Amino acid sequence: MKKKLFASFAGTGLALLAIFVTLSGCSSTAVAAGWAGGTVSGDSVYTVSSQGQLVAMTTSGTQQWASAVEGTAASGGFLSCSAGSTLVAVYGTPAVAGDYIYVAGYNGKIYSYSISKQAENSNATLDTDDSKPIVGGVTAGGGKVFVGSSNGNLYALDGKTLAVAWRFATGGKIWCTPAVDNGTVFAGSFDKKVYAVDAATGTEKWAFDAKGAVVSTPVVADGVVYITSFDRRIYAVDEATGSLKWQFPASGTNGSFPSEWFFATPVISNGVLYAPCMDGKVYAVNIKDGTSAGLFDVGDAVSSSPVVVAGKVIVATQEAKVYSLDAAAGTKTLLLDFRLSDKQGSATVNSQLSAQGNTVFIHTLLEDKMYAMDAATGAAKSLSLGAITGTPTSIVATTVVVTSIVPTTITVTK
Amino acid sequence: MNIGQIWNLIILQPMTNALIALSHYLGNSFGLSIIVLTLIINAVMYPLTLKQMKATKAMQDMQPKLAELQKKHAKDAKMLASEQMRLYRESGVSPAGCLLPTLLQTPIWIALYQGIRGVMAVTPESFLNLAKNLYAWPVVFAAMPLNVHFLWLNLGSSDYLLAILVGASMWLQQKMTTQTSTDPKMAQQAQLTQVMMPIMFGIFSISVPSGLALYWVINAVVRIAMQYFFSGWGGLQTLPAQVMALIPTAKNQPTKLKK
Repeated sequence: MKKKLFASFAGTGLALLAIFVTLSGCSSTAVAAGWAGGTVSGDSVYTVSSQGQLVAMTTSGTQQWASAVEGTAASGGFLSCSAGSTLVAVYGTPAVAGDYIYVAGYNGKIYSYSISKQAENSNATLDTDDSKPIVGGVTAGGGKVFVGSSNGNLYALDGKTLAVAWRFATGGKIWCTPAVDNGTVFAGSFDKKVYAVDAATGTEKWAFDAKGAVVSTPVVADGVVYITSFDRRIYAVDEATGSLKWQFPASGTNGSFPSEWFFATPVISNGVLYAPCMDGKVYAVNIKDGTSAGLFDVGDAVSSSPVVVAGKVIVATQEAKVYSLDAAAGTKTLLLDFRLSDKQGSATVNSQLSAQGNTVFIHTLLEDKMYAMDAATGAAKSLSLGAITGTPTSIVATTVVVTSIVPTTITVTK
Repeated sequence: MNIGQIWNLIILQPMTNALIALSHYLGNSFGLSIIVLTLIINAVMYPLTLKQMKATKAMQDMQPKLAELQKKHAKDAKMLASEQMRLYRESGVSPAGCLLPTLLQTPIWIALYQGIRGVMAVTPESFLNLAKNLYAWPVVFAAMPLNVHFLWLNLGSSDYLLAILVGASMWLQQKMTTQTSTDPKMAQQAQLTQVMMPIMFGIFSISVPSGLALYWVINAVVRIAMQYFFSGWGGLQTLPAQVMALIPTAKNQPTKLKK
């Protein structure tokens, strides 16, 4: 009896310990896997797979070449799931400038690849003594590349050598991809501010208090910077001075706030800013005065940045449903449901969308595929990125044609 | 709605949002938020904890009588079981009395653990996942992202000193609650658990964010305090003697053989 009792005690103790171990173990959200989108340049699309491969493919979906992003990810510590991993997670979409492709790694390193040589050109760790993960992407321009780090610094690097030209310190992590316009770099920080920094010298021009962390890229158009924030507001500020022009919801408005924060970068089409939100809605706002131009309920959180094709906004939800939105016509059209069409119940979209002509490129996670989708019909074909692990010459691309669901259009009341 | 969604809705989300809201009211200190919520939950759980401590104490007090029965009926297992049940009945002690409060408390502790882990959102993936568990409260959005710096700690990274504190506090807690059994086998097993659990949690703390380790330390300290007010220092009373026995003295040093 006593032994049985002790066994039950010991069993309970071990079970509790097992629960603890399981709970803090390798859940899908505990491991940094990355969600790089695709960048279109010429006839090629570049992305980084969840396996840490920079993949170049034609816009028609045929693989051109691939190169492993250097495998020296920082150890997550003893017993950590990420310890010993040789994969480098990449969240930012690769940037292309001239012959170079730039990739920012979660291991705190920037990589440049030569398109003509189809190989890595150089790499650099941002501040070896204070190296922290890079979550945003790289923006290239004027012979420099700009990138933010989780150590709170915004960096300008030489485009060829990746040597640091200047660094600008903020009070929090920088997870957004910086925007560059008219010799100014714009970047949001976890310190709830958006900074405008001189691209040549790295000196601050202004800082705007967004009252919440900013992880989306500020959108600059016609002298105005549009910012979406964790405080669930959209701000329009003057590009030159940083002064507020309008905010949405307007000041003093009660009860009309989004119920979640803004994570994805908004886009502008036909005078309307489309801001996807984690509450499963896309807020359409007139850029002139910040008034509502429509509200699109897409049913699930949106963390991927949309793209504009022929005046329509193509947006993908985390659950991999792709919609075409048009605020002027007040229509929402379901183009594609990856989980239904490809019979892949696990497809997830966090990556930035990109487009060329009528083709939209969508990197789905978990199944790790790049889709080329027709923006009008929703018909798509995919390239499996997960299978790409070898050298460029030994890889055979697997292209699968995905039949679109019949696009269904819903008229949205403004 | 599956069981995971129900769990999130009624247990994990309230815990997560309470942690964030508390952080806002405690000067944007997530460290203080962990400490205060651990204290609040311990206070709410106190009646159950007290019940568990009483039941454990009663079980420990019965050990000599149980040992006596075992000795008496060593060759008759059936009789031994029957006599043990009679003893439990007469003493009003139920073996389940120790387990039931523990089992009832477990979901709350798991939720607190998951809440702390989720709120720290170490990777971008976990950050996105966190968004799904937030209430549309202005204080929640005002507090996010949380300030993960507390004392010398970055609560999102592991810390060796805190891992040592986890092991030490858990060992002290175990030492206080475990009393020497009259059965040598049980005593040996209890001693093993007493050492293994703190070591395992200490090692485990090296690989998890220190925010979780902070929760373990605070929880262990609260349990030590509760145990002290309930039954004194318990097994720790014998600690000085045990320590002294380990220190080499003239008396206990091995005698050198004369040549």
